[in-house]
Amino acid sequence: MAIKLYKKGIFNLTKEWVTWIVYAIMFFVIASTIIIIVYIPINYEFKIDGLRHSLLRQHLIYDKNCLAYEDERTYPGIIDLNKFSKANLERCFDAKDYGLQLTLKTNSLSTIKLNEQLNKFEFCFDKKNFYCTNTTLYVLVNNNGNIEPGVLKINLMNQK
Amino acid sequence: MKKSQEEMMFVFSLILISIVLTIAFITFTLIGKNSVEAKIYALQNNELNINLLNYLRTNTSVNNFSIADLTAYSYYNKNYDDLERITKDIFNNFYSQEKCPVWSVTGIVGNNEIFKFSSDFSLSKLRTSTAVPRANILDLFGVKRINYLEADAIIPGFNQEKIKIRLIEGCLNE
Repeated sequence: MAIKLYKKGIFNLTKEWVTWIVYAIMFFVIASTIIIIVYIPINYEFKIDGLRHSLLRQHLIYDKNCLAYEDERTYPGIIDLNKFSKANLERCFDAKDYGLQLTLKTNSLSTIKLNEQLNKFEFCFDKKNFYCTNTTLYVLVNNNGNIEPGVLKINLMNQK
Repeated sequence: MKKSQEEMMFVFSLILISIVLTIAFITFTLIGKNSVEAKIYALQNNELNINLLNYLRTNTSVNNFSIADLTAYSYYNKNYDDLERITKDIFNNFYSQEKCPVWSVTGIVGNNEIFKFSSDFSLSKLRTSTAVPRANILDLFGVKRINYLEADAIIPGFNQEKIKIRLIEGCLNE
């Protein structure tokens, strides 16, 4: 009789263990889900450096005060060669935290660097600490009424 | 259930919960080191639109047409040889093989593709000059992933057809 009870006890204990293991798995799944749901929004980090660079590039090519050619209206994407000067770009590109290097290639090649304290060495020499983008655009260049195709390289960098 | 069994179960459950919480903590601490990033690539299409717009505005040596005019003219004459030559000349010079190995310009009227010009792209161009073949395979699977962008413009044909010009560029992720 005593042996029987002992055996029954073992059986009950094993059954309880299996139930608890199932509970534990369920608990783990539910707890993980809750942690993930709570954790992801907390740690979601929006890296908007790329977006900022996009906006700055478009400011350069869309704005008549920067590079865009203008007669009665402004032509986004058509570069006025007279506006491609360091003095003009320093006026229009008032972003002290960004290093800028513009290269315009037509029949000749001209390069302008702004905020040179950021890009005085090779452009974006330190990719660990700086976020850099390098964009090439197919542009038309208006050289006093004469329009010719060209390539505009816009290199931007900022400290992370 | 005997009291001894209940106590044992209680101890066991405490141990189990501790293990589960420890695993969860370790897992999420490790994940936390690589914080979830939401990189915003918005506005990149605007830049491709500029490329397409300037391509269509480019003057050609054929009757002093712009590319847009030449496209309508080519569609009218059903002869795209000049358009193909000029398009390839522009985009093969503009898109560097190292950075943007894929480009294509497609003309569509209604649902019909009237022409398609593209870069002479092959996967071998993605391979680096490294002598380790394994690195080439890695390059193809993930490390050098191509990011595709697409821009459309509609130009009128000579008989007021709507000719859709689609520019696709495929650049390697930096």
